[in-house]
Amino acid sequence: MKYIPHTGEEIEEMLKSIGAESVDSLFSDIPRDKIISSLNLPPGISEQEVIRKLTSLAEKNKVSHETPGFLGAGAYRHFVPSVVDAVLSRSEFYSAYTPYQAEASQGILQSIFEYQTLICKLTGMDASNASHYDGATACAEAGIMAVNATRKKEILYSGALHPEYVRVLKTYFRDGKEVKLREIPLKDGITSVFDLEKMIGKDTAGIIIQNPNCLGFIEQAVKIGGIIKKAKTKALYIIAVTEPHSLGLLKTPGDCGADIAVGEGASLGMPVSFGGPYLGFMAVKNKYLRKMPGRLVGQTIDADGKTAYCLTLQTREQHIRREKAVSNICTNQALCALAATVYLSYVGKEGFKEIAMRNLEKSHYLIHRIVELPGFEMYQESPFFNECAIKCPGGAEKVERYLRKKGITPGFCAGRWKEEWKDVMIFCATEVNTKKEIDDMIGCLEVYYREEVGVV
Amino acid sequence: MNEGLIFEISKPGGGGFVAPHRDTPSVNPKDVIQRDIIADEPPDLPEVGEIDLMRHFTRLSHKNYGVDTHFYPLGSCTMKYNPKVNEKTSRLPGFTDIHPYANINDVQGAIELMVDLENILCEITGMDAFTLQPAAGAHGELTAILMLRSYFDAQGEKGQKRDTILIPDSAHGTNPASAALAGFKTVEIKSDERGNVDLSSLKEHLDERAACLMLTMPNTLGLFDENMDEITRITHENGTLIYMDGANMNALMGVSKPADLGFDIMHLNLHKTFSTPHGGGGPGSGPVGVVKKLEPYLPDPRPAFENGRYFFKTSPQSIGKVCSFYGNFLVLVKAYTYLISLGGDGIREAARMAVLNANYLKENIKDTYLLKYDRKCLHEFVISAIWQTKTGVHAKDIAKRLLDYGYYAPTVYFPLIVEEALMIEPTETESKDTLDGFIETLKKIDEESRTDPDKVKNAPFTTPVKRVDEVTAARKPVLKHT
Amino acid sequence: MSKIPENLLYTKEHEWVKIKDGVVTIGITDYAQDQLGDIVFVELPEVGDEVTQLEEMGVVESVKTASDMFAPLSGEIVGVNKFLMQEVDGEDNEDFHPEYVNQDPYVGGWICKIKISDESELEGLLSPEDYKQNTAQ
Repeated sequence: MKYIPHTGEEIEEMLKSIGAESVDSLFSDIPRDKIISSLNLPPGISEQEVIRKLTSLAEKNKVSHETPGFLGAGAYRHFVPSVVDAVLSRSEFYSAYTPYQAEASQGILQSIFEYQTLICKLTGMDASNASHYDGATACAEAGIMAVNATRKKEILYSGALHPEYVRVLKTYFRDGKEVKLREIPLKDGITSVFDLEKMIGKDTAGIIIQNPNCLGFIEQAVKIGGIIKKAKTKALYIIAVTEPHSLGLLKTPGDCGADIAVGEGASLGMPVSFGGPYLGFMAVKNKYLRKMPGRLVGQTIDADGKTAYCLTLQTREQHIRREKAVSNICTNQALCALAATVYLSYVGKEGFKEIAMRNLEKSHYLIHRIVELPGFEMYQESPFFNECAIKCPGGAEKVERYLRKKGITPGFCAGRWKEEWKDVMIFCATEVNTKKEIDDMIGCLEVYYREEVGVV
Repeated sequence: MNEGLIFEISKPGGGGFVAPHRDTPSVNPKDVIQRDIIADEPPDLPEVGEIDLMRHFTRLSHKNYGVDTHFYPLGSCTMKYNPKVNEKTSRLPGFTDIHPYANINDVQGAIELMVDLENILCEITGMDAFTLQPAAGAHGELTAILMLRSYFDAQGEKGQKRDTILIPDSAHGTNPASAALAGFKTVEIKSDERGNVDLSSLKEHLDERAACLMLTMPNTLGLFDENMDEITRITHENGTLIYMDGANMNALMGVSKPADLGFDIMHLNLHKTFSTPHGGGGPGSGPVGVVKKLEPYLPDPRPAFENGRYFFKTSPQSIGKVCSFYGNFLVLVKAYTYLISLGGDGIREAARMAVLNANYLKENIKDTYLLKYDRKCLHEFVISAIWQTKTGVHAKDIAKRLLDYGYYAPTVYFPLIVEEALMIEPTETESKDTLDGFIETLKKIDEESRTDPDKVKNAPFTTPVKRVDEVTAARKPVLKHT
Repeated sequence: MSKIPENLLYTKEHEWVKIKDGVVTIGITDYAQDQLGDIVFVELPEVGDEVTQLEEMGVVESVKTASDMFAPLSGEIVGVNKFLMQEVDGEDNEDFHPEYVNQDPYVGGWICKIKISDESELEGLLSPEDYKQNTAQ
């Protein structure tokens, strides 16, 4: 295929107009011995061949909606209403660039303004940016922001902060070379409030808690907010949310006392897509607005006094502040933010709560049925939202192998994160799981226990 | 006409969404969750019927210029056509509906695509290895610079002393910002009067602290440095590595390989060079390529193929992860689709036509607008509106006036070394007719700037809103609807 | 032509200084505000901060530029212009007027006051005449 509209005649005309003898001659500044004549790649192919090739690659993957599945652990399967893709498919949106020319970009600007408003509603915070790459990078940038805002040199993070987030945090902080990263121990599968209280010190810049946490358990986020307040520390309280649907039921990070709310917005209208593109969100209390990284859209007026939108507070950003910018982030995930905007606007206040209720009901049915089985028990008896860590007889990997043989996609083997969790499988159920799927899997697990573990 | 906010067309009970029916027993949240963390009310989201919602967003889309609606000569952004087949392949359920933690046997096709794409990028750039994890160009820069830190740290005391990155004054703002974020100091290298790196300025800063020279090539003036071989030689002699900001790779693909030119590490922007849509500001993808000695430091995990099986591997020296999973996978699908569509010959032809288009525009505009560096350019060039300022017209006014004529604007006031800069990049996908129309319009605006400067200064008039008051927006920020 | 009052001293960084009883009031010059364009935000030092000469002590921002302010003299910050504070005691400042720096750079748009610790530093400042020459270049 080719996307070049020139005719041979036009190329000749253009060369003549330039005063060049050939296209090659336009490259004469490049050292001649560094010029190549061809690439060692196959020649171009037609569209139907392209589609055939890509379809055959896609078919080598097992599509998760075709099999009952219980995998969550930071990437959740939710139903995506058709309106979301209908809006995202409009090329006025997707083929545009970041809205530098406000007058010709009001559509994307207004949609980001709506997104910022929705994220504030969702998180209970004062100001949201236009989005980040994903939840983990938003979380790491929140850590950097806390260090910059407090000029302190230590971050405390929960032992149940998603391990992928921890790894990104460590990468961004270069393994704690200048800023110390300390893990807060867990008790009963949630952040130990007792240890946290002891660990907050005069050097603490930020405290990161994930709620619900990576094991699925709901943290004592309100209590932790109280402790941080009582400690009279300068440290910022950062709440990370990997499953925003929990906010259909739970208090917002703002109501828990957080200074920064970050998280993964992929659940809001994006397919799981092998991990991306996703949507990092970040929202802060007003006090920290100017320390927040990322694009911001503001409402203003045009020359006629009409409501209009534009990028604002840009002096925080790299293209103006260069090495002094609050972050190097240049763009956002605008199209993903648009997906979340359409999704949240479509499901609405009541729908959002109902979806959260379906998640709660299905997962509780699932987990209750599992723990009724012999040998299976909750990793800790703590409240959960739509996923929960379960201790599996025979080990999680054995259960995984068994269920896969039966055509079921099992939960996540938490041993892939931490050795101490090798018996733990995190089972997730969302509104897309049916009762029948759950019952079928329970049947399989029953047989598994009988055949593979057995009664001693 | 103003389009109200989605919140303004919301009515309680007016939403069109129907939640799936309950097929499992009902649960009272208060029975299963700590009471102090249950919200009294769900978030106050709007409630809008489906047709009104669809019309709202469709009308918003009409207020946006995209590549499909307007010529987009935005310099340094490579706003080429986004092929529709990319959109189609990236929506195949076999790509969208696979979980990042799926068993490796269930995602063989996805990893195969990633391995294949890495190999193609290696062939185009001459690099030995790539990571596809970074989500954007700036993210790629950060990834690369973190790798440099690890690489030099591993060399002991001498390497640890290297704490400075040299960056030309024509560079993108992300370069110094990324360097600073990764803990490096930055030093600015001057440009000479031909738009090249000033060799004496470079030599002055090539000392035992210089870790890396970060070059955009061709640079942001659209020029290939005439002293490239010399730069490479003296920089490497000093033990300093050379980074290529690949924002402008559209000029070089299939024509010259960065590794052959002497670059040790680079990032690409799939959303620029390889036709994946910019999405109004993302998602993008910023893969990083390296020569052999830097490979162990690439982010974990890396897709691999051995014994007939695709899998992910890790390296003990890796800098770690730079995002949650494996990067913006669906963007990779689009870039891969584009690359195999074009093939080796098509990739090369795209670069050649991009350069032809830029030179054609440049030669036909340079009598009307000052061309500070009057040389052969590659894929883009920078003109100055300094001649037009005589009547008080500035680069931004010309940009705004272009919107009236149905063009998106060039990049303005960048690079910083050209006063009143207008940076123009046509890309290869624009026809000669489109370019001719643009040339004619730029000439017309120049004429207007002399005969009716107020018209240019107050432009635009035909856009959905007139000139936007950015000062009020910044003084009294209104960042959400209340 | 920008205004350069006769009763003030200046710095090369386009700041003005007014001395009274060991305390200096500081602002940016008419020339500087004109170059920056519409000022939208001023990042002020905090009262009680110790500053040393030529150290960064704040930022003046327009929509598209951010310009660092350097302490013209060493000493302790003893006052800041409340009209330039976007927030007072954690609340939005109703009387926030960064445009004062544009409209009235030498009086209403003053930035901060420093109780100076080293009078000898005063010698390095520019006279109105010298500053005029400086901007003419």
